[in-house]
Amino acid sequence: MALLESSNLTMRFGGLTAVDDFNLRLLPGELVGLIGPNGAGKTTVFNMLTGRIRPSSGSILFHTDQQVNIIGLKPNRVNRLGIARTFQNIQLLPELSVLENVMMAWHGRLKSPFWAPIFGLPSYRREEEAMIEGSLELLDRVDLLDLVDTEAGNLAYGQQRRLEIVRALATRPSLLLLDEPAAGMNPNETNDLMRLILEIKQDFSLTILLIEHDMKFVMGLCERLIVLDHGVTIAEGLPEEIRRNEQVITAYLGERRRADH
Amino acid sequence: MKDAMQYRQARQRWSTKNRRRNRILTLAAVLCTCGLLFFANRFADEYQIRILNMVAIYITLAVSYNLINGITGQFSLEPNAFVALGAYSSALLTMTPMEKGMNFIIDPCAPWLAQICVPFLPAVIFGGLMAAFFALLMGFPVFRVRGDYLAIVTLGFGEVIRVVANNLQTVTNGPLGLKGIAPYTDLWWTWGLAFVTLFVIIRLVNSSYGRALKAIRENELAAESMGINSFRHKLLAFSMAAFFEGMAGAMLAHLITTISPMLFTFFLTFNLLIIIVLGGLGSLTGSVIAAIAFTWGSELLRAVEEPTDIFGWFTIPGIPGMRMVIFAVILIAAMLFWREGIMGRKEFSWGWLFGLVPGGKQKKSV
Repeated sequence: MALLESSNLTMRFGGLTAVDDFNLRLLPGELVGLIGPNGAGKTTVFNMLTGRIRPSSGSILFHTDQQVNIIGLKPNRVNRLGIARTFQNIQLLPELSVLENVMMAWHGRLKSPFWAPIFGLPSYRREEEAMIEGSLELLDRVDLLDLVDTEAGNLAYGQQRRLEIVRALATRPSLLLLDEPAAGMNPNETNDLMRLILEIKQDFSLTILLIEHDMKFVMGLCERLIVLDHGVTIAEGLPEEIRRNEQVITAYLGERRRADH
Repeated sequence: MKDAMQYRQARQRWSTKNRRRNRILTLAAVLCTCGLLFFANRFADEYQIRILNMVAIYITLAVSYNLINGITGQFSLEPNAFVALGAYSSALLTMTPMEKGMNFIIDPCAPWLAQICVPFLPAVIFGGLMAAFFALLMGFPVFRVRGDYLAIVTLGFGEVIRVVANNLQTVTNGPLGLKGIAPYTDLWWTWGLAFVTLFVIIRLVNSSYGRALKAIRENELAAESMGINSFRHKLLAFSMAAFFEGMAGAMLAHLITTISPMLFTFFLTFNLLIIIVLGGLGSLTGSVIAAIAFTWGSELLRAVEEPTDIFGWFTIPGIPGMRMVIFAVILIAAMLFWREGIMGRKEFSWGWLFGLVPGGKQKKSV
């Protein structure tokens, strides 16, 4: 049984085929990397998996044993099913505090109706307490506890990245999609991030699919890699195999013939 | 994990202490206002009481308008429609069959409406519900668009309601309007409604729902990806705003006792827009301050509409509507130089006030 299975996923924007016939099978607990040159269609795949855009054709099943079809669901529904993501360009709520940024991710699970906080019902107050407590615990994990009252827009770049990951975790996903989590980080931060990803994967029993350009990061972290180029899957396999794959080297560095001349 | 526990406890101790203090202070402020109202009721003349009533109605309108425009960030231009719905609903419901007969002189009142006559409070609440119902109905098509398009679509809706009121002769009495509406509104009603509106909307904004609304304003993409149903939350904010705007409309109808479609043109919306922009989009307390300043200011500015004598040399004739020109200039100036308005997105808080007192400075408010 796979956690997520997409078959023949295709996305066409007008005459451009951004992703062509993409097949993905994620087993529970896997850590898979999605790599490829710029414009290969990696983020488009993420957008389709999270309901941001509707694929032109193909299917996506979540929890293949229960046959949950994701196509046509809105992003918030997909998130409630258990798929959370981070973004290539950080998408925080810059004017809200760090704590509020995390608490906001709890809202989708809130049971109290809107009049509960207005009348100050105890059921709502309990939920709010649980929200604060859970958010603080999550923030403690990524060393942001001292900054809970800071506006998210004032955080350093690396902290914003971590906050985004924590926010995604607060929605209690079973599948986490990370879009270039290490972009713009120095080697030290990248190492810390690798450790963090392995830790949360273990502790929250996550399945992770990530996009990344940093080859050291990807090779060191992922159990399996998928390589996209111009929307087509050109290779799939263990990091070692991918490293030696002719087609992948060509896609990244151009053809040798051209390089020679 | 131990860190988080300790942190939370310290935080909690601090915030419960402050919350109790703030609650007492807020209650005291409300009681003070009530005391002032009591004196006003006794000693103020009719003109001053009228201004105080208008202040309260504008507070109600501005705060609820800010919920959708400022807090949720959905720029819409329709409150005149909801005010009209509330005003007409309540006025028609409270009129006795005889009064209706006197009003509807061109066409008789629709038979299903002619015999209805209910007390003031249910009529006001029905006015609010009517506005909220239309807001829900309208929200479904309207919130498919965003930004400028939303503003235009809602502007159109506001006009449609006014035109319908103008032409639905047997229900609204058309352009003749309704006269002799019972003057039930007094200071207690208008300020009571203003306090209830403030209480409900502040509680909502400070809850998880308020966070969701702000998340939609700041970054709808992120909000949706984190499991927030933005469409439903926009509908919630929109209908709640409409509910209070409708009730404020009912208050207005029973205050001025004569309503006609001309009263609910875009200018009403424009006034509210001035208030919430000057007060700060997204600041409820800012809206309150600006509503008071605006209503009071527009009374003071009546002077500019009267003929003015300049040093006995010559006389400037009074120009009706000059006040609106001045307000438009203020709005333009605010948008150019003072975009945040009075409060920006901040709220007045007791903690902030204590921070101003030397030595009373406390830790950052939680």
